[in-house]
Amino acid sequence: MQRRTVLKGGVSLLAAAGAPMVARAQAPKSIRIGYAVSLSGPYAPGAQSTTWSQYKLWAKDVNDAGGIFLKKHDRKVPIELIDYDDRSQIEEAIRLVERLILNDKVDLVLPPWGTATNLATAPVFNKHEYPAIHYTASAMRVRQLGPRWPYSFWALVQPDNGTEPLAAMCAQLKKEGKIKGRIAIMHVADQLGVEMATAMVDACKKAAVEVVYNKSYPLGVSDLQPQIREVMALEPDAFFCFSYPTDTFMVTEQAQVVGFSPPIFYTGVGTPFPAYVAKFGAKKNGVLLYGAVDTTAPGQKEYIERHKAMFNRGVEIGSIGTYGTLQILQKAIEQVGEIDRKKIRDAIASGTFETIADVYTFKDQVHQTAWAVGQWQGDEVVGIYPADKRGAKPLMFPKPKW
Amino acid sequence: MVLFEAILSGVLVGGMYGLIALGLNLQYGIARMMNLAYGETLMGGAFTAFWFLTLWRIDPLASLLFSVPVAFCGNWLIYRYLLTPLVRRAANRDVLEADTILVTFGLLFVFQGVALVQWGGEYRGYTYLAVPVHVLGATVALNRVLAFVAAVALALALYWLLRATRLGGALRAIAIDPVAAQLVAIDVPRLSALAFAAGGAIMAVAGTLVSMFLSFNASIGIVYTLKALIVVIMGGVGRMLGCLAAGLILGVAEALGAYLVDPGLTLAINFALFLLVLLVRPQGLFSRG
Amino acid sequence: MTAEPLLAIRGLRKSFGGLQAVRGVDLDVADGAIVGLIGPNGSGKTTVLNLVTGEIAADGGSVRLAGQEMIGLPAFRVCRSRIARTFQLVRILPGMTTRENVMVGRLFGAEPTTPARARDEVGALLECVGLAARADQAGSQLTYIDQKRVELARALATRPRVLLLDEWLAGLNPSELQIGIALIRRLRDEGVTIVMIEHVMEAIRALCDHVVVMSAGALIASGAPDAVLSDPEVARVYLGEDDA
Ligand SMILES: Nc1ncnc2c1ncn2[C@@H]1O[C@H](COP(=O)(O)OP(=O)(O)OP(=O)(O)O)[C@@H](O)[C@H]1O
Ligand SMILES: [Mg+2]
Repeated sequence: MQRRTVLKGGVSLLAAAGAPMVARAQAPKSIRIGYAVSLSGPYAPGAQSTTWSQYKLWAKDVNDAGGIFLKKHDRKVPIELIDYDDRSQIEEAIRLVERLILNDKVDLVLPPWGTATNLATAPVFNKHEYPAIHYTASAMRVRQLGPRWPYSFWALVQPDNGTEPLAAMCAQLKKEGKIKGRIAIMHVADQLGVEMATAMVDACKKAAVEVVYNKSYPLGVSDLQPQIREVMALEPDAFFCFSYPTDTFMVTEQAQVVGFSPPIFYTGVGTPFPAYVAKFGAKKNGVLLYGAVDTTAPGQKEYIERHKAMFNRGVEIGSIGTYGTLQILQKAIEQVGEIDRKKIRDAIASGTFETIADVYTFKDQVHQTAWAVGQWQGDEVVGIYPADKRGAKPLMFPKPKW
Repeated sequence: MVLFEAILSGVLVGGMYGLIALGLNLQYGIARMMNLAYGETLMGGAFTAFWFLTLWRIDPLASLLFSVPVAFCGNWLIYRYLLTPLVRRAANRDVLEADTILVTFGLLFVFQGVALVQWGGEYRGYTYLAVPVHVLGATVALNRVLAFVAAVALALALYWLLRATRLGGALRAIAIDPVAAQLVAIDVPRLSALAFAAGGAIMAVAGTLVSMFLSFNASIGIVYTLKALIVVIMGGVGRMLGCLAAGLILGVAEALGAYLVDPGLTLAINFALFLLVLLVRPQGLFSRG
Repeated sequence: MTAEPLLAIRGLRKSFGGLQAVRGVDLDVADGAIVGLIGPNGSGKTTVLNLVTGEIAADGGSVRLAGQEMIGLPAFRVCRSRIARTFQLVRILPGMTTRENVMVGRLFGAEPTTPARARDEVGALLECVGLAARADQAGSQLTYIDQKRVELARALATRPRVLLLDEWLAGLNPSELQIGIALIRRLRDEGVTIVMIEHVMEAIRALCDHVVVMSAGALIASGAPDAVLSDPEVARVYLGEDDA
């Protein structure tokens, strides 16, 4: 430790001495940015639409504009992407991030896709002091990681602040006499589902609303109708399913088949996907979901058009959010005016960033006021909670019957 | 009532399990090829149904007229030009098995990769026949009933074919001993290819039907390959009704376990049953051999 | 051997890696004859049969049945050209019943017929080999001798002109042996030409018109049974090193 600090000090001294003359003359030809994302294997679908495509689009957008402006060199420098496929294997992702840093000596590394992969690679980013804004990661653990992993930022809503507004909403509706306040919870037996359900039960306890059903089902389940029937028999007026895409689709369809249509109907990951729109059409109206974006954010409409032009498909809130984190990174680099990872980290930690998804600020490296709850209203996912955010819309209640 | 409905749901899911396993049973049980890219045909069938419906408003059932022949020919070509050379090269059955697993594993990545590039990775789904039907007072979705009916019909048809026809006799002989079969004048390579291709065609049917009620994406194939493998091994390699019965047992056990104990247990029940069968009747529940 | 042979083997060769299992075998089998093929273990007898039936590919040579070349044909075509065989280690289809086993042969061999007609003929065949009572038993439940009978019936069901028997009489007790010998003789009388690999000398003497001896992949003697079996060279090969 001691030795390394001394060594580093020496190196930066040298660099400082040499820098002014050398650097101005030799501005980097490009900013080299690497990443390892799952392009094959079970994570590939999510990783490709939410993460990989956004990295590509952002790089194109930046380079179309001439690059990122580096004050220190007084010029725009284009981005060069170096990409790897981690084949949906976490060890591979760790190895590749390390390789990008040590062998490819890239200037910056973008985070991978998925909660587990992000949490597993974060120590590598921190060991080599590479800042990363993790978007596709939601876990209670990140709250404790702040001081230990100073280079990691968490931009997505986390299970606790993702569910508190839901419990508060139910309590409020109950007070107004609009619902009886009987809540049913179903969740996928996976980290995110379990944490969300646990947080939800806690929040309901605090808000004094009754949970009449709370059970898990395994990932990859092929039928949920018996469980839906069981829930239905309990006559809840709010139904929350902390689900992954396949089960999100299944629960929604089977609820429609058996005619389960409570006034509050919430499903998890997958609800904002274009496929959900294609499958359920107008029936999606009123369904609540995890996370949201500010649909009034400047630049979002143009972004959607560029996305359409490049990939010939629609966007979902996850892709908008991911793109937002890239804008944060870009703004932080421009603020610093050079590729100095320590300074970039500090800029992210202390700044406020207007993006196409949200206005971001990080406290303890977590975006504390992230969008928690969205709702399908017409053909748009609008942000509902936190209700005091810019762009928040009032809740549509009750959800229209299927 | 809820219990009855749970069992009924389990029966329908079980039928689907049986359906996805029938084709593998033809490919592995008769043509003796462990095809790890088996599920990719299901993925292809599902995407075909999806695109036909979204792009051209063609009924998913009508898309079978396209996907079934394509799957048949595709699987035939794979058998003929990728797997047959392995048979010739392999010194013995173990080597052959290892080689086919490697080759079809590679094939899996090729198909998945092409699908990813072509159609992107996102989840797809559409709504078709998601209308409630009432069976003895319980409510089930028509699309699931359809898959169940198809499973039963196909299993019975295959059973009849294998038991009562000349072709079936030859296929069973090949399943039992391909060397002896060729020495009683059975054209083993051609009929094996036929069985393999037919297995693919059935999987295209399964893909079309499953896509009506489960969402899917480019990398979903392997999930179904594994499921089918479990069902085939449980039911007995080469046994069509055994395959259906094993599927039904799995489906009902899952549903009952979920209802009576906890929904989180369905996977555990699945594997417990599988292990039990492996321990007690490694040759499969419905095998004589 | 003045008449045109029904089966004519010329220069048949096969190596497995470095091992020359069959090195240039010539053999003529007259129509209606029973030819015995004998030799110590590992001398290449079974391999000759495998080459003739097309089960494994020959390295060279020719096998003609009534003038028609068999080498190069796939096994199922050789069978349809009317060469059938039994296996040294019985190879019935255990998951099928006796009748189904034989039906397969009848339905796919030479002159295939409809399942209905095949059923009747198979019934007669089972009668002939003494299996009528076990027609609907699973192959796996049959005794060893009955499995051998199934194999024979199945081979006959393909309507062979030449029947190749690979130690079909091995492992039978004395009374079974007598039944077996009688059965083979009857087949010959019905016009089937037979090549039999056999270690049971009693059967060779009783049945064969002609015997050939193989050793280390080559024919070393040929002639009438009594003459060949009393040949000192043959005795040396048999009694000396047995894995030649
Ligand atoms: N498929 C094969 N691969 C490699 N070697 C083989 C193969 N078949 C036979 N051999 C070898 O060829 C030689 C001849 O074998 P073959 O079975 O023809 O002998 P055989 O005369 O029938 O002996 P037996 O009286 O024991 O049946 C043996 O050394 C055997 O090991
Ligand atoms: Mg032998």
